[in-house]
Amino acid sequence: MKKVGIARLPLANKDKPGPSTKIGPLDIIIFFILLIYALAVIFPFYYLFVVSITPTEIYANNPSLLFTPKVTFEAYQNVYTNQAIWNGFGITMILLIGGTAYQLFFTVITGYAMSRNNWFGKNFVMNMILVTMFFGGGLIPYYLLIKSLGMLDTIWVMIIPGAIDTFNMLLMRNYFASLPKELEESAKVDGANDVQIFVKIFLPLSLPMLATIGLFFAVGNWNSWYNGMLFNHSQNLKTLQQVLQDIIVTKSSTIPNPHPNQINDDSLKNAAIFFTILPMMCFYPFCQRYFVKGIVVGAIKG
Amino acid sequence: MRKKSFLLLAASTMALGMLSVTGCDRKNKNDKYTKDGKLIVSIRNLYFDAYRGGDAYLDEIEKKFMMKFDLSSYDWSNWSTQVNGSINGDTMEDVFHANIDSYNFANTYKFWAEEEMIKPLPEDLSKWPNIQTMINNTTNIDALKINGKLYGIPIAKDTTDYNTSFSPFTYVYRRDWAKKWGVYKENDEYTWAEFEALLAKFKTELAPTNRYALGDVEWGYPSIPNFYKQVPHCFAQDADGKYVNNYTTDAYIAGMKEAKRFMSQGYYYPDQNSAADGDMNKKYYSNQIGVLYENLSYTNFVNLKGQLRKTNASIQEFNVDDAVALMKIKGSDGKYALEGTDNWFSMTFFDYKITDYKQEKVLDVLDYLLSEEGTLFSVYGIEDYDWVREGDEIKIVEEYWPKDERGDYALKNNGGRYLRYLVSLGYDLLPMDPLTDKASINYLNEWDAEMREHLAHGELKVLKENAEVMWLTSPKKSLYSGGMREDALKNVMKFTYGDINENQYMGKFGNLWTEVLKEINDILGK
Repeated sequence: MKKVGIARLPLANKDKPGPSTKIGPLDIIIFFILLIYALAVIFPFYYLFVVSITPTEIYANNPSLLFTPKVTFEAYQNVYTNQAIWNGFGITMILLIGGTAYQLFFTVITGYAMSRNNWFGKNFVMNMILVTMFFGGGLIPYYLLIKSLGMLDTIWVMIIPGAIDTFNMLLMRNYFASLPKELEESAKVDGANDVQIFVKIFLPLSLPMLATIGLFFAVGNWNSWYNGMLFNHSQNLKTLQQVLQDIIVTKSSTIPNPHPNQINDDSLKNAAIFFTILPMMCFYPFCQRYFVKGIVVGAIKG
Repeated sequence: MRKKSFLLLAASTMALGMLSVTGCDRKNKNDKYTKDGKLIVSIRNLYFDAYRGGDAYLDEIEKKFMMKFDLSSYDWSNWSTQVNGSINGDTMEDVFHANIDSYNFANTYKFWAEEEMIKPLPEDLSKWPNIQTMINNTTNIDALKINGKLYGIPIAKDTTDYNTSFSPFTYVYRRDWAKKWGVYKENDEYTWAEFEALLAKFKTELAPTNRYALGDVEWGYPSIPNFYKQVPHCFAQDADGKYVNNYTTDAYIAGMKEAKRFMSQGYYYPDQNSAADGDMNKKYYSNQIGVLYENLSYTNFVNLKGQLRKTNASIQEFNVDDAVALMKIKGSDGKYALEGTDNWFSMTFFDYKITDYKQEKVLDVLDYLLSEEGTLFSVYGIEDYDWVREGDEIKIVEEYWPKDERGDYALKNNGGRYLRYLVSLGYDLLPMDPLTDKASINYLNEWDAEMREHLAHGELKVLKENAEVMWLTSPKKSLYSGGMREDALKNVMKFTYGDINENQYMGKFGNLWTEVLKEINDILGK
């Protein structure tokens, strides 16, 4: 068969005109629109931080301040010496590391299995998994299930039920399905078994997807609070987000506090929020380059 | 024969022995015990979240009653969800805490009781005289009895004066500004006209710096109709005793119009309708408003004072007592007006599976904590160790009371205090607590005493819904009245802002109100 040649474009050289570097009025307009957008995104974080380091007497008299003439780290001192926060941080770290690895493992292997064509009942299993994406069993049956599994008031209730996330499993399945079948066939010819093909061929090619859904899981685990709130009652099993909620939500004064805390509530709340979001803010940029790529490559094949 | 007689004697002795053992010790084999023989009791309460545990005082109670407490806490923001989750999943603790008074109906409580999901208290409470006294003095206690049985302990707000019938929802104001601008009245007493004159003066003085005369706490807007309306919420009575929509009575409309006038005169902080939780408090302690309507419980009052003191730290002559003064305002009818309340908040319940023996043991502990000895234990700790009696006085052993970095008394971790919250919110402990700001508690008590005196002389109008309608559980009322109230308050707000006129306002109360009111009147035979 005659090969069809592809006409090669000549390479650009310094004699040829490159892309225009001239800044037109449209560029300036776009620049300002993007600048406003960037400020709108950054400002809440900035304001959060400013309030957290502003003394009560200044903040109370000027709640919409942009700069603080005086800085205090009293609120941070309160946050950092709060045992409940550190305890919550510990629990959340366990969820972040253990929970993310566990979810990633089950979601990825399920996605891989669902991308293969050669097993009986695949469609049935797939449909059963898909159903859970649209219909839930209801809160009370779920509660009874957790109870019967003996997971009440344990850390496991925040990890085990989330083994497979259907949406992320679909992303993985689509990605695996998009990889050439020839890779699997040639590996088989070379004598690799299914596990070796998965571990040595498909996983290394899936790094962007793994990073993407790993990030989804990590963020989800970092923000997790609902299962802990509903199923656990021990104080030492509270996640960081639960502790944060305790700090932020205005407590009722139904029991008289003989010695109310005189620290500015807003500073304390903002310091606690800042403490809670900081790790994710630091972690996000490192995964960002995989992020969009991962979603796009997983979504191109149905 | 001798052998037979011996066997009979031995069997009789054993039977008598068994009988005496079971008679003396009513321990139940279904209960669980620690290795050292302490009865294990699980308790979940809203207030244990501040309790750190591990103190000698809890150990002391456990030793005294041979019990081991497994304590856990609800979150304030998820309280109902957590209670509902565990009661439906049948995983309740032995003793738990629930708020059955979400707005004004007790259908959840009634359902739990009728379905036997909670265990009633023993009918004869004479073994626990302090609990008995407290229950006897609980307002609306008959409404809490289902088929003659009480299914929980209403947690007392006030165990020293059981006749408490109004809340400290009132106005606090900048007396220093009133004095400075020449509108102060002796003893903080204001007629309606004087109140308005004060607001007008505050407005004139504050407006140039973009500040305002009056602000109502977010849940309390508009407070002005309090001086006009008959009842705080949905169901008022007409001249024939029939229940009618409170929000459409002439009295309420008059109050609402007055609130609208105050808004249009510019007395009110203009963004009341979008104020977030805590905003009005901040406005007050940051000197942005001159009069604040708020729940002036001890905690809120002291907090307001503390924040205001901090905000004005740079002003040398600042007198915080003059900046947080309670107003005594008479409405246009010449009467003071305060919102009525029950003298209890939420209830302590017993899981249906709890054994009689365990329930009685828990009641023993709670009764002890309400006794004089238990109360002193909850506040000061162990007698002759943490404190000693010197005549009639109680002297704290200073070295055993923690101090903060400024040398002031700090909160002492005492499990007794937290267990006591199962029966009393602890307002009665305030006067004896070394941490209490005595000047503030005395000031609030004086105001309270003065208002009681006005009540006795018919000069105070207490806004209270009738118990028969407040505690009525009926299908439509239970289902809709919460939402009806919310919608009504939204429309009241719209009216005071001039977004809707009176006709439009009246048109907002449709068939649902008619149907619910009909149901109530039919059931109550009105």
